[in-house]
Amino acid sequence: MKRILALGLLGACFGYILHRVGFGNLREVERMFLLQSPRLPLTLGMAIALLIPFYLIIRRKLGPVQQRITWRTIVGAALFGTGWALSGACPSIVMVQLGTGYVPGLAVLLGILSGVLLHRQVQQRWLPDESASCSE
Amino acid sequence: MSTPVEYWPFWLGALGLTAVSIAYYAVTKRPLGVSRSYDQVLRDPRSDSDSERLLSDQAAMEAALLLATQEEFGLEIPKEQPPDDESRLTLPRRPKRPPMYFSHHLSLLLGLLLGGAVSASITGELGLRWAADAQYVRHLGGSGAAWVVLFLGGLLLGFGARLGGGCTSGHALTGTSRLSRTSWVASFVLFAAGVITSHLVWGRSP
Repeated sequence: MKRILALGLLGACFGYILHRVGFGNLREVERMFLLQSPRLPLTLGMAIALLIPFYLIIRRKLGPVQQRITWRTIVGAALFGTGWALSGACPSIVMVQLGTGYVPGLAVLLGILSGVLLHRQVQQRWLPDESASCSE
Repeated sequence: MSTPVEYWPFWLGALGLTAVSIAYYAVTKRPLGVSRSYDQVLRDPRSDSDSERLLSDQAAMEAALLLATQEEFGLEIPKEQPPDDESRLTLPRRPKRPPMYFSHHLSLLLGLLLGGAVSASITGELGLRWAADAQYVRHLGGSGAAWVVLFLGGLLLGFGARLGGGCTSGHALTGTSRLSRTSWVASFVLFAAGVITSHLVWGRSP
C-alpha cells in the first residue's frame, strides 16, 4: 500500500513537471517538431546528461541494458513518433492532458489502449518469436 | 485556449525529470518507463505479470534467464548443460526487486492525471474543454475529423511503443541515459518521424 501511494505521488510530480515545462501543450509540442523552439528538446537533453552518471552508478543493480537493434525498434519508433505528432501526446502526456480537463484526450487514451491490445494480438498471432524483446 | 502561460525554463524541467527518474528507481528498483504501465494495466489483474509467474517457477526462470542472456549478449549457449548445478549459478541474474502489480501501475497513471490537474489549476488552464485544439479544426475541418485523427494518433502511440519496446520516457529519457544503443536509435527515429509528420500535417500554413 505504501508503494502504491508512493507511485501515485511520483506520478503526480511527474505530471506536474511535464505540464509546467510545456509537454502537455499541443502548441509547444508542435513547435518542438516544427523545429521552432529548442526548449523541450533541451529539457530532455539536459535530463539525459544528468541521468547518465546516475545510471552508471547503479548499472549493476539494473541488469543488462538492451543493445539489440531490430526492425521492431525502427518501425515501432517511427509509428510512435508519427502518433506523437498527430495526437500531440504520448502515453504520459495524455494523462496530464486529461487531468487538465481536455476531453478530446479520451480519444488518444482509447487509441493507446487499443494500440497496446492490438500489438498483443499481432504479436501472438504473427510474431510469436522474440516475445521477450519488449522491455520487461 | 492558449493563454500566455509562463513555462518553466528547460533547466528546471530537466532537474525535475531527473528527480522523478531517480525517485522511480528508489521506489520500484526499475528504470522509468510509462508504456510498461499501460501494458500491465491491460492485463488481467488477478493473473499477475509474466515475471511474477516466472519468479514462482524456478525452471521457467532459469530458461528465461538463459534466453535473455543469449539475447542480450549474443552468446552461444552450450546445448548440453554440465551435470553439476554449480555452473548454473554463474548466469547473470537480474537483481531481486519488489514486484509491481496492477495497482502500482494504475496508481502511477492516475498520479499523472492528478499532477496535470494540480498544475493546470495553478496556471488557470483547468476546466473541461470539449473541443479539440484549434489547430485540428483549422487543418482538418470539423471537430469530428479531429477526434478520428486523435484516436489514430493514439493507436500508433500504443502499438509503436509496444513494438519498439518503449515510449518517450522508456527510450528517449531512460534508455538513452543508460547508454542503450537501441534507445538512441529509437529516439532518433521517433523524433525524425515526429518532425516529418508535423511538417506534413501542421507545417502548411492554415
